[in-house]
Amino acid sequence: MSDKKKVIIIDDEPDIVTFLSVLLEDNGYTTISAKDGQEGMEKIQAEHPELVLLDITMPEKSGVRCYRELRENPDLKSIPIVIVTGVAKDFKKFISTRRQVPPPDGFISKPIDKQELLDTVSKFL
Amino acid sequence: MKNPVEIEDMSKGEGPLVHIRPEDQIPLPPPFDKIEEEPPLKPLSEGAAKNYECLDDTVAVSIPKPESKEEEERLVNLFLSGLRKLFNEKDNWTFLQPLLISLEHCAKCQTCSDGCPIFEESGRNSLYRPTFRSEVLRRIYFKYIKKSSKWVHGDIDLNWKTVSRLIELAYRCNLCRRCAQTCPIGVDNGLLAREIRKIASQEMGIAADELHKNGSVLQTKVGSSTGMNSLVVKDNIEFIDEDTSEKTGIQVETPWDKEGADILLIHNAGEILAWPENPGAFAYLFNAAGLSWTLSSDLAAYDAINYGVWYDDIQFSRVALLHAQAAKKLKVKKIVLGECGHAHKALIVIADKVLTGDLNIPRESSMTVLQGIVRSGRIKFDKSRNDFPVTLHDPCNMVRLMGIVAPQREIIRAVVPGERFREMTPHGVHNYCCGGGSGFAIMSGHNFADWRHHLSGRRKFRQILDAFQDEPMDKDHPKYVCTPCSNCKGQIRDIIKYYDAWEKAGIYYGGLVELMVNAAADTKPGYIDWEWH
Repeated sequence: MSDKKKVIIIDDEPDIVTFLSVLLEDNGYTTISAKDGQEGMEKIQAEHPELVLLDITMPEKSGVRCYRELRENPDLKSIPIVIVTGVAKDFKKFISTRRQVPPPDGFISKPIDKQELLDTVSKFL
Repeated sequence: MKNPVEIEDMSKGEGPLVHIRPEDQIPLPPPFDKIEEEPPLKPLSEGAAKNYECLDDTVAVSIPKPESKEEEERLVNLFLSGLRKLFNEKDNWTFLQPLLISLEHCAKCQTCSDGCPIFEESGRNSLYRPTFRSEVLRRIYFKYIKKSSKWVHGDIDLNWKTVSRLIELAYRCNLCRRCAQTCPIGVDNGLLAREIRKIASQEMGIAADELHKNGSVLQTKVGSSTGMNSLVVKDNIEFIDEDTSEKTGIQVETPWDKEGADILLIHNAGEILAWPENPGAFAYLFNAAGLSWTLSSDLAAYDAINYGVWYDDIQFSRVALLHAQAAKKLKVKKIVLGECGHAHKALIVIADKVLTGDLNIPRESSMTVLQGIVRSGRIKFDKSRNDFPVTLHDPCNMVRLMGIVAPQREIIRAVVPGERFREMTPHGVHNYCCGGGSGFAIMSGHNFADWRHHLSGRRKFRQILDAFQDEPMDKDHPKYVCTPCSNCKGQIRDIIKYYDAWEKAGIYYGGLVELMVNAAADTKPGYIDWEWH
């Protein structure tokens, strides 16, 4: 069994998924991916990744809903979540100040800065 | 570098034509009256100066420098072709008549210059006179379109420098149209600035990314320039409804896609992220007043912004149609615009040129709907809950353009103790722009945010400080700048932060509906979150 840490990339843009998968695997992580929040929730429950990279604007189930469900689920709420989004920067303050959920563990705006992403991921894994 | 700059200089040389010198500017009122203690205007980076066409101390549009003379020539010809189209009714169905009047006539009396806050706050730098860019355009028009005598109308060399600087200069105007208001013969220099932007966008593919790529294009593709699709918006509104219920002590639920509702309410979606108390307050007030209303989750119909109104007729039309189609689908009686000034201009005023037949659904300002709520007496207000100094910012598009002056004041009289309210000077239709008008509030590339704080936003900040001079200027005495426009709120937020005006003077800002809910007698007290700045 691999001792590599597993990261799930939840994003509806295939180019972003490819970019992040290659970047993370080149840096010693193993990755799985999901194309929307719905599939993301199913894979998290099935595969228990150690970190979630979460897009916000997605079809089927938004990243906001996904974030809320993860934080409200006693079995999953301790998994660190880094939001990776192109939504306006004010969203960071918005989601970080909701009384219903704790602030995200990390927040990265698109376009993604490689080093910022790797530095953020390495804080949790 | 010459000072003052002259029209002929637009065609000549490299680099910036002017610099802003703090010693030319008028100091702000206390406690910001020491100009030497103001944050300095951050210089433009070497990279930006090297890569983009420069006009002055900043870059708004990021126009790349062409790689060859042929490319320069091609762009100049595109500009001329776009200019020709402006005078063809088929190609310019928006503002042809006022454009012709404004181009053909100007007495050069400079009355408009005295009315322009950017010119005044620049230390009366001639580049920023409303007439300067108009005169450049006018000379091009007479020389190349009408082929009139240069002895009558003045000469100009039309080259890439002239065109690129003119486009940048069109983004040194807030389009507040105070100049048009003061002009004795009705010349609309703001319109001319807007039409220069239009030529650049529609003919040359040149526009500020914040307005076009990350604005109109994103809105028509994803649904909102914030990047939120309808699922994200609904999930965020759910958070807001829960917060509003908690804060007011009254269950609040926002209706979505309710067919047959009287009102389709469209917010500037920026409110949802940046000022969630605003859509929350609307939901509380509309429900408490018993209005039949809904939001729409259709593409673009949950975001009232329409940046095309600032730079591009095609983009403008696309968004206006999406708004009207959503209303038609829901069979609502009218569309009501939330607290967003340019959305008022776009959908209530200019969209009359686009929305015909059954798409010409009645549109109304939230200001009059809220006034109706106050008059109905359905919500009881306890003014004593707003026992702090309040002033009112008048958004140009609601007030100068549309004449919506009295409703917001009637509301304030109902929710704020009389002695606590003070007007800015001047106010109403003679107001000054917040400094973020025409898209500036969302434009912060390079050092542009610094430029707007030092120039375009300076007059409004001066007015705000003046309005509160009879109060202790410290954080222990909070003061409220009521700002019923999302774009204006963004600019006022930024300038408060830039000058640290909350910490140093206790100046806070927010919308009108927040002030109303803060005084709603049936709610738990303390709706306004003074720490949200």
